Amino acid sequence: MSPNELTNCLCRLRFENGQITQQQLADKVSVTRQTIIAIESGKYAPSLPLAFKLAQAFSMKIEDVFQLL
Amino acid sequence: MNRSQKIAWFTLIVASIGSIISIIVVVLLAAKFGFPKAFAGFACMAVTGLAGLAGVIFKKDKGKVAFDERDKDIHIKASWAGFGASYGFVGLICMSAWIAIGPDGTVSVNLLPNIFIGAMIIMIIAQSITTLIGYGRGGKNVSE
Repeated sequence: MSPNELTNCLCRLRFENGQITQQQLADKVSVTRQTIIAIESGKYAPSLPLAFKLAQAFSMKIEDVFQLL
Repeated sequence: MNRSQKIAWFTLIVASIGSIISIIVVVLLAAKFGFPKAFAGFACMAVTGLAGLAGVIFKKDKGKVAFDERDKDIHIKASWAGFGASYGFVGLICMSAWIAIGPDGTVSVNLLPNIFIGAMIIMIIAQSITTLIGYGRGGKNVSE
């Protein structure tokens, strides 16, 4: 893993928040399911607005969802 | 696999088939009639025009959102890759001609449409490959 890589705990948060599916989360933040999959697997770093939307979807702060390694 | 990936695969396959057919035809014509008549074989590149049907064949993806920031990002990268590849192709052809026949040589204008068609094919192939790389291999949704 390269330095300054963004990690996240979206997968865990989905299961802790009523086991919502990737599609449900995608619909909530207006992206495709593929994008959620790419973010969860660390293949895609979301834009700042999308990162905020994802954090808001779980009523959390952005730094609690995304961490910089 | 989403719509963009399907279109990219379709375009790549059609462009490859068009290129292979035209190369075969050019070689056959060159063996029988020689150049420049053999250049007519590049007309088979018209097969690549079928790639334009991809937008009609593949309908929009189901679901609330069909296109998001990641798709936009991949499309921009693919466009730049296509532009870069076609620019490089034209540059390479120009420099090759200059090196091969020297600064005082002349080139038939019949070559120009072929260079243009070649650049177009290179562009759509580069765009398709970049799109497929951007989305990742296969595009299967691994986890729920």
